[in-house]
Amino acid sequence: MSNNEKEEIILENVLEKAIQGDLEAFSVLYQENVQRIYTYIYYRTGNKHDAEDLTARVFQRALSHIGKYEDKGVPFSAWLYRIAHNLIANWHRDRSRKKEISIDETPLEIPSMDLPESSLIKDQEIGELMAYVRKLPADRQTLLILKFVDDMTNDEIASIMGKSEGAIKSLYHRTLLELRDRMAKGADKE
Amino acid sequence: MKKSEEVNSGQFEDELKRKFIRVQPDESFVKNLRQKLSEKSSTSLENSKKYLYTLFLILAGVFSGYFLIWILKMIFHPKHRNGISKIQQASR
Repeated sequence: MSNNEKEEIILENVLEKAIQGDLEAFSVLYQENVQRIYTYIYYRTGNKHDAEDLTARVFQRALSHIGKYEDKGVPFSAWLYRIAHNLIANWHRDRSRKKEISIDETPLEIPSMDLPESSLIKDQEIGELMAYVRKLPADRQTLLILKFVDDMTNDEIASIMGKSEGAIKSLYHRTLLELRDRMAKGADKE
Repeated sequence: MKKSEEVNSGQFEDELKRKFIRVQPDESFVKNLRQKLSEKSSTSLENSKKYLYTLFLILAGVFSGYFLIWILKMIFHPKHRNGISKIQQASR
């Protein structure tokens, strides 16, 4: 039995306990997933304050609904991502209603503390990439974040986004082409 | 041509992999949230106990009210076998 398989079994047991209301087990799941959920929200919102607020809401909602969680053979993180996905959609809707600063215009904060090996140039490069990414439709942004930050398979992404694996594969290729074109056009203008 | 496109998209994917990095949340945030989550669940347990206590108080209130009315009725309108109360008899 490989280490990964052992880890999966342990996490399955922890999940079962958490479903039955074991707080320590939920704490383990929280510790296991908080960084990836935070990262996902951070890329989608572009700032630390909202990322922290929404991450807290994701886990509070998860805690209050974990009793109703059903294991459908996908990772537990997929369920958390779905909660995050819905909360972010509401967040964007509320923001567009308030008509504050356009989301696309909001610069993504790249805290240098998070990138110990990075230089200022690297921060700038990442900031530029994120500016292009955030001009894409929401589902394409989600797809890119799950693919590159979390290294998820098309199947896992499909379960989070509620689409078929084939649809994700095709969306991924279209997204890559669109992003590359946008970046090329942006570079030409400069 | 197609091969060079594939190579380009592979390079582009590598570039994206390099640039999309995981962001580390503040340790204090992670710690505080974990604490809040455990507090919240203990608060909800307390709330459910409070709810049961309130329900008990309401039921006790209804029962004692009903009992009081029954006592008062027995005092002021104790019915005899013929259905006339003592007070009614006295007034006659």
